[in-house]
Amino acid sequence: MGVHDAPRRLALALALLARLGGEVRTAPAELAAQLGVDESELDELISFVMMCGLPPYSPDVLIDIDVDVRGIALRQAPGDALLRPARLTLGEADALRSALSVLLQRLGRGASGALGSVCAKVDGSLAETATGRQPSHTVAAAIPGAEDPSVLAALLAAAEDARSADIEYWSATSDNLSARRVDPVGLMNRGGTFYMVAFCHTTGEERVFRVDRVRKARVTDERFERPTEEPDLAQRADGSFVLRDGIGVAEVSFTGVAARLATEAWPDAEVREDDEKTVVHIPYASVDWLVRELLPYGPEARVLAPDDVVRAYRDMVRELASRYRSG
Amino acid sequence: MSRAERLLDLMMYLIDSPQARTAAEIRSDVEGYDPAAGRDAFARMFERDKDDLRAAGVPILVETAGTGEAAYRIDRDAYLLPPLSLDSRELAAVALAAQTLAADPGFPMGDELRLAFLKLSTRAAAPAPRLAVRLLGPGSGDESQAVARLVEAIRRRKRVAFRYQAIGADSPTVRTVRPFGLFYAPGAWYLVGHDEDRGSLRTFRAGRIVGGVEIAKANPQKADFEVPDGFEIEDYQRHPLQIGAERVPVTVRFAPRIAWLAQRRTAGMGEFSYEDDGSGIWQAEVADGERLLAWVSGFGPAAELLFPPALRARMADRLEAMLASSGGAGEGP
Repeated sequence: MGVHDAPRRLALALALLARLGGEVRTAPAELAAQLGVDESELDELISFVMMCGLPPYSPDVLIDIDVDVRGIALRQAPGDALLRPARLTLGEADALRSALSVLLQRLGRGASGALGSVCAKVDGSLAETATGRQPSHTVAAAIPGAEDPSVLAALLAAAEDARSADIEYWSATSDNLSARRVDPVGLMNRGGTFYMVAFCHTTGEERVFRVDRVRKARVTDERFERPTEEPDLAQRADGSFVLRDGIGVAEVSFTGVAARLATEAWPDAEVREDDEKTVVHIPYASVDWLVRELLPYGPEARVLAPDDVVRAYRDMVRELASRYRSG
Repeated sequence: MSRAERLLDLMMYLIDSPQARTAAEIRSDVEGYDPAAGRDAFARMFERDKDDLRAAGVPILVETAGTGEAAYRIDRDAYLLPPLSLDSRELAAVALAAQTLAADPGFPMGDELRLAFLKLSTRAAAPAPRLAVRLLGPGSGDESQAVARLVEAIRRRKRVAFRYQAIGADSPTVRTVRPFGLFYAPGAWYLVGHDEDRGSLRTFRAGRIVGGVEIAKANPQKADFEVPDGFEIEDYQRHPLQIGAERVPVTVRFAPRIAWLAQRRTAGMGEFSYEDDGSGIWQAEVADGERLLAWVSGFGPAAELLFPPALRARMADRLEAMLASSGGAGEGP
């Protein structure tokens, strides 16, 4: 966030004043994090705000901010229009409304009534304020993911309360449904898909589970101890996923539209472009899984190596073809 | 004195003032306008400040003072929402939304979201959420940037131009669009707008925009278009299987062990029922037959398209072509 861009600095200053107007003394580091700036930028922001006020700019009509060991607080603010009760700008309300709506459809309306009720309040305010003809917000998100909202809510609650959960999990690699007990460390959403990072009692190690494959989840009364070094979820979500149980890397060539779709689907994979085709090196943990992943690309995908994947793909296609031919 | 200081002074002055103020009053009252500067220099500074305040979302109204001169004031109620009163559960929900999405480059309004949370939160600190969100996944910096530009254009109601790689086209084509709104479906942002060359409302996947989004530069303070009456972005969001021109009723059967998962993936479209043996039967209307064939294929032998016969025949052809290209044609089953 550039603090040197004037409109941006203005928005930061207004948010800072609204926040300090709430009479909460806040530690500098925390305030900086909340504003999305570093501490030196916060210092600069505070000194700039303290130069401002109303005509004739005598000390009694300048903004005054108190910085001491207990934190930062507002000492004096001429005119209260910018302060309390804090009011959101239309842009901020749009941002909040959009964020809530994206999370709502992810976490489910029923499971998180509070998200829905804030949405309704923001909508109400926006409707009162908006100029009538314009839609009040720019973003919608109501297409649900494949996760069961109640499963998602249960796993998030288990992670927050540090309670073990009993889950029924379908493993795509083994095409098998099994019951497990897990200690959820946290959840991440990556490109629209939710994953749970959890210690798995069955395998005795930390695993990443796809939440849409959790058929059922029940939070138990059993508390678990959080790992001493907790994984940085955001960093995990940013990084590339390494297949823990990878057994190989397949070479698959794609042509036409499929080439584009495949590079979207495997953004981390090594890719080689030839004249007519795109060869993607796809890591896999199970031959069956890989074959199912490739089937949607149709004849525009061709497995080049290894041989066992080539054969498995051909056998699967033959089985399906005979089914449709006979029907 | 920095420009930001002058902007804040100007804003405090106008918002505090009981009536609209003329340029002459602003020049003599507000600190930061160099009294030695000439009329033209002041006029340029003031124009730029008004543009910047407007860019920050502050509506500056122009009225006519008693003397006939232009006078300026801030329309506080067109700028700020009535105060929201939220209970502690609602504040926790806002904290979850803000803490997860403000840090996500795939969410286009992170800065404003952070500021909104800052204004609403009454507590000094909220515990770090046990959830990290990256709406677009890794390697999607271009898409994030395109979406941020689209948000700006939607709000300012400015026309945009971009090169778009339609999924079936050989190469990207330039599109000129009046952007009306965005929707998010798992993993991707979609733009809904009026395509000026095609003369109709279209949906564009932001990830298929090649290069940047250009916002029309003419008349920066004026909207280029009005959004049609009654347009709500909610009415246009579609599941990918429902984006397209066809309307084909289909029936698919899923094996018992994955029927529950298949039901989740249909995302509420159509009807999903279970047979006595636990098989799932899905009946729905789809808008893109080719995409449905791909989607059903992804379940492998656990899914079978039962209806309509024409699509079944296309599936058979598709599988024959796959068999041929994988070197298995002609070998008997």
